[in-house]
Amino acid sequence: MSSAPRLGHANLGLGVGLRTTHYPHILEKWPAVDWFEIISENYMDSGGRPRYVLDQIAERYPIVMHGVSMSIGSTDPLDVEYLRKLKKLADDVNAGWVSDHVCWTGVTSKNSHDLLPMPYTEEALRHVVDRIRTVSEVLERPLVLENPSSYVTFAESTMPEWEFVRRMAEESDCGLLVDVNNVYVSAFNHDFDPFEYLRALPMDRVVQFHLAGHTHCGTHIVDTHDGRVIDPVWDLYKLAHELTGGASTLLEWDADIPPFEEVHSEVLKAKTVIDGDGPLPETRVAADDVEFAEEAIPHPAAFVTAEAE
Amino acid sequence: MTADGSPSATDLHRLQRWMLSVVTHPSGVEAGIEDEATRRITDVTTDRIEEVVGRSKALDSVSRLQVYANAYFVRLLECLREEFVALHTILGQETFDAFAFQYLQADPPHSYTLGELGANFPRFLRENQPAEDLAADVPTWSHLLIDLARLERLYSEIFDGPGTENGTPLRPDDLQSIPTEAWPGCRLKPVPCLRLETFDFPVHVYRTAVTRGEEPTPPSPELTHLVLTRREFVVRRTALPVDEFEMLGALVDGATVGEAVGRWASQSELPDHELAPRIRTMFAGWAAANYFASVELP
Ligand SMILES: [Fe+2]
Repeated sequence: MSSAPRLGHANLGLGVGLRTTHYPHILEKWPAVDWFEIISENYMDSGGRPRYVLDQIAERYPIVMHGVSMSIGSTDPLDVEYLRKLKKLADDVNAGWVSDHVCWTGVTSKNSHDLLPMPYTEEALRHVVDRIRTVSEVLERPLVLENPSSYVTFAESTMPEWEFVRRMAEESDCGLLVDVNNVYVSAFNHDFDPFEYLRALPMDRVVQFHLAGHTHCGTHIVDTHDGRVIDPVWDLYKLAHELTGGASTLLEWDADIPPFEEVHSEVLKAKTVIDGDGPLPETRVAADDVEFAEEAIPHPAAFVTAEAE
Repeated sequence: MTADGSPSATDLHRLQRWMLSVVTHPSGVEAGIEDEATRRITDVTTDRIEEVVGRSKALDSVSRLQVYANAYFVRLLECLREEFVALHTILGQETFDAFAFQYLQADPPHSYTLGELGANFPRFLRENQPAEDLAADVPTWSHLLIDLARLERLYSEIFDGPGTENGTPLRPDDLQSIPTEAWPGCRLKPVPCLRLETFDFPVHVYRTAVTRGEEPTPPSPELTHLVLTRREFVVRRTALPVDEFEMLGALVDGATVGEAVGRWASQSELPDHELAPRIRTMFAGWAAANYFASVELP
């Protein structure tokens, strides 16, 4: 099965992940950002401020939806109510596409609120492919799935992650969100070559890229989204850009979030790669500048608290 | 379906059940692996863990599982600390975390959204209230904690629930245009975010002080009747005198204006000539605070 580049989706340019702390800045300045990605779960149940803000932003910018709760790999039944709300939000804000992760978040109706890794087996592949087909039918649009960061591998896996992701995309006809930082994180954690990973993916199915910072703990890397993109991740992005011919690119920053303009300028560095004019800016973070952290917690989901007088 | 009621006895299902019980075990990964319930799923001990989870060049299998296990409770505790910020302040982190940790074990998250994480926390605290406090004549420390938890959960529900920001709630002018003779038969429809709740302590004052960054002293018992709503996407709360609170409650429950006012007037200690002005003041105040969506004429 072959498909048009990016499954026919437009290259939206360089976007920023919409975060609550930036609402006042965005609503006041309406900054010149190509597009925004939202965390679907922060809006699908909101009858208040978050949804009101989103509706205003969706009038002015392209919106793409990114979720953390679909649990496409779980052996629990799909949450039909969740999918119904997801589709309604996608229709309401005219979402460019809807993405989630190649993972499971819980089982036996218990939710870890984490993105837990799949074993890469034939059985898991069949399971995920079947469910992607179901979800795409319910959402009435092709699903886009992201490669997660992970911290364990399973003895029963019979193929590398990139093969699983490639076959999953081709057999289910879904799109891919390639998180270049996650490729780097998992490559370090599981001792594989991140460039080999990228070269193995079906690049005509790549709809979107993620860039992010992470926390290096010496023995492993945790996907914390709390800082700048480091040099080796830019190098991977460069290859991914070349292999795909370019796709919508988004920076995720979820902890210790700086002012909006700083987040925006971090993703704009991708222009140097896209324009192909020489070395990346001076403000790059070299891999060996990184200080090791004692402990780090990945935060896949942002939690929104109530405003009260 | 299999004999044990699980959707399937596949390898994938077994691996997921095993991993979840290991990384969410309250005593950590090794205890999780060795736990009898986990070993009934996959009978592997810590020394043979590589049969299930591989090691990396830099990290052994147990340490790798610990990345998930460390994150599980920390992530959920952080959410609860943020949602129940006043309860967290009054208890201090160590005691709050101890309560929250027990709650998460008794009632692990089931919903796809973290918004539901704290939904049963007030009930959990109530169900675990010390027996001597239940029998006490006056509200105790544990009553205060439950009141705070209830209030903060209400704030979350009102913040995320439906509101009136995009509609036109009833204004004082709308009330004035109702013909006098029609008044007794009218029913007032509350806005969807309106909640009336009674507390043993003025917990709303304490919570506001906490969110302003002050260091308030714990409140003393004082029966508190709160009307909660949302305006301009911010949760609003007002303490009402008991007579006003009860009349408002009667209207919210569907009484006609005539019924609610009649009941109030019969219990009021005000002299007769002050009844009508007081009623006008109350209704105008409610309308100004956007408590009502519409009026249903008889
Ligand atoms: Fe990502």
